Amino acid sequence: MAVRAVAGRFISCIHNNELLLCHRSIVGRTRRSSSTQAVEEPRPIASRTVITNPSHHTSDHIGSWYTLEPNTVKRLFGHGGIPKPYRTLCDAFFESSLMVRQPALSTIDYIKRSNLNLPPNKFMLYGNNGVGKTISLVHITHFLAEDGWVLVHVPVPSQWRRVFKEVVPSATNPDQYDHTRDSVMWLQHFRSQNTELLKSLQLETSEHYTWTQREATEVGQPLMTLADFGISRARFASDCVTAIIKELKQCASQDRCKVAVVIDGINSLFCPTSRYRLEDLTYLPPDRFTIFRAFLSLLQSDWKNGVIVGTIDKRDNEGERRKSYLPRYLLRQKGWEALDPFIPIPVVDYDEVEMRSAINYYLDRGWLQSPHSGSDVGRKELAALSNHNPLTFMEICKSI
Amino acid sequence: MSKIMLRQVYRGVQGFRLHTAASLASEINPAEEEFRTLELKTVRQEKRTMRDRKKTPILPPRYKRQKLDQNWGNVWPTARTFHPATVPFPVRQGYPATGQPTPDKWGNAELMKIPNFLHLTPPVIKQQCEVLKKFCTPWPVGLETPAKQDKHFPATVSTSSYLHSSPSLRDDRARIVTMKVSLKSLELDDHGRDKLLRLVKDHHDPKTDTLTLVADRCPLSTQNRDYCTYLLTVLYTEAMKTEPWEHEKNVADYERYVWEGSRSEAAARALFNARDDSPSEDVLTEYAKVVTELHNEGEDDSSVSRYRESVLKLVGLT
Repeated sequence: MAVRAVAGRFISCIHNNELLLCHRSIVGRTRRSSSTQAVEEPRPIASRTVITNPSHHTSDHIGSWYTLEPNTVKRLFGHGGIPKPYRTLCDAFFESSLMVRQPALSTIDYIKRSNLNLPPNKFMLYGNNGVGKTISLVHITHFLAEDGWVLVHVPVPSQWRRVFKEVVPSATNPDQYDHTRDSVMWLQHFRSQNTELLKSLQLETSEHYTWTQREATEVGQPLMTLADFGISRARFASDCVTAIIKELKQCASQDRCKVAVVIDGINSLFCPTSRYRLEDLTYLPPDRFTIFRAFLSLLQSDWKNGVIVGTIDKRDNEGERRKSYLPRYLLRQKGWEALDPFIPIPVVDYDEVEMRSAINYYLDRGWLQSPHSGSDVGRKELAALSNHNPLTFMEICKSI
Repeated sequence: MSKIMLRQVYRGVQGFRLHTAASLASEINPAEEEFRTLELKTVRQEKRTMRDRKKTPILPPRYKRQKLDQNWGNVWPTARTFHPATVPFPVRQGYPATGQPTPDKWGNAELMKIPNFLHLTPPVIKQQCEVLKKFCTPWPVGLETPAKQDKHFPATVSTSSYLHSSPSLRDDRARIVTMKVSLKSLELDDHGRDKLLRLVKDHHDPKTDTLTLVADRCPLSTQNRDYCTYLLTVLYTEAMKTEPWEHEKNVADYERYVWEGSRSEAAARALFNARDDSPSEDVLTEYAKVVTELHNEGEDDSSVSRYRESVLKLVGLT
């Protein structure tokens, strides 16, 4: 690392071909030796891998950090997918990196070896709070995008149940309720992720959709026109979502594409309560939401060339049903019957290698300001304080 | 000489007080030796000795005279308060004071307060049993082992009787009768067992598989015992019956998860049949076993990992 100009408290330096502004106290903790010559203590460098394609990651890379390109992050996760605290850290570090860990590697390996002629395999990551399920899902989503899968990605389905923007009775189906603005946001997310791929695959609509007397989507139109129409007409956005999902299932069944469904917090789809109040002041059960029904139809086993990856998180359940992190308890009977048979993949806290790597990364990025962070005692203290839990570790390090 | 006596002497002798010394000195006549000397202060010649009390000899404690092969039953024939000198072994009892060892047996109120069973040592018990044997009938043939006993006498009836040394002998608690039956002995089929368990609920202990009936509603224990018998009869007959409405039992009412006929089976079979590399049926049976265990035994990390292994085999991803 080359240390360049000194400007007051800040020093500009080049690290990994990036120009960084680091606080003077972090860059090479200088200590004066007896001959009054400043000696720089070496700062630990994070264990990184230059391989940016997740399909080339192997178990040798476990514990290493790999960096996502800014364009990829914007394209895939511009409308959600990476949790906000993590995004804030990525902004602070001027890079979006994540650690390669076993659960994501196992899932990627299973996806590569899946038989696509069978009904879609379902891989569900489960684990306690803050172990890294969502970040593992980010890794898997990146792999799926690189591998040419059409992504149907739902970052936070529980938001549609709890903190929705607007719910109105459905125009087309009297039994259902639409999310107008939330569907538009999801369609924008879908468009952002899949524009290039759908263009190259040349997927087209297979049936005629009549929206109003004057507006209709013809047969044979590119699939993205449905998304564009939904984005422009919020009233029909939820129906557009349903239509896109139906078309994708059909295309996949006809071997024209492979579709990956990624849902972070899949147990939220099976919760019995929502916050939307009807006129008679009762709360609407979420299985009457149009978009819920649309995504639940993707979980059925009547299509192929697909894969379903999700996380089962207790924070996506209602407060009374959060006593355990195990899948059967969180999914309830309805969710279990919808997903069974699925492959539950456990995600656990950091082990020693990963803990060391995480501390090294924060030291490398200059996030840990305390001079004792990198010492043996400091590392042990950090590990003990956070109990090897990734989220707790991140939160502790905010103030160190 | 006491003060009273001195006062009397002074009163009796006139002028004595003033001329005591002079009269005494002048009247001494060595020739007359028969003159009685006035002794004001009588000195007792001999000290009155105390009566000799008989000193009882402190004998050594009794246990030192006991032989090693003595008959202990003769030393301690009945229940009695602990007596340290008779008990031949050292025993300590009680909370020690600071820096002191545990109090020994000598003058130990704790040891004396508690019941001891020194009257019931095994040789004494054996002896007593030998004597009692002539009043007993022989143990029935065919009931040697507990297994045989349970087989022929599966029900146990317990009552408690209470003795009072008070004007009345009665105790209300003596009417309570407890009957314990092992469900294995009832030989019910699945339906009967399920129905019986729903009827009795908490009275059944799953660990020991026994049904416990407690009756205290009647004033006499014989009546309560008859009531227990009646209850058991009724429960058994009701369990054996099948009511016409019982066919309405559906999946939500099942007491255990049954994989056969469930949606899990349908999904698994669909997946199994869709596979073109003809996997063995073991995959399905293992999957059924694992899912049933997950539901019936409870979910934990190990059962979820077994489920994962079986699903990986089912989808062909081992």
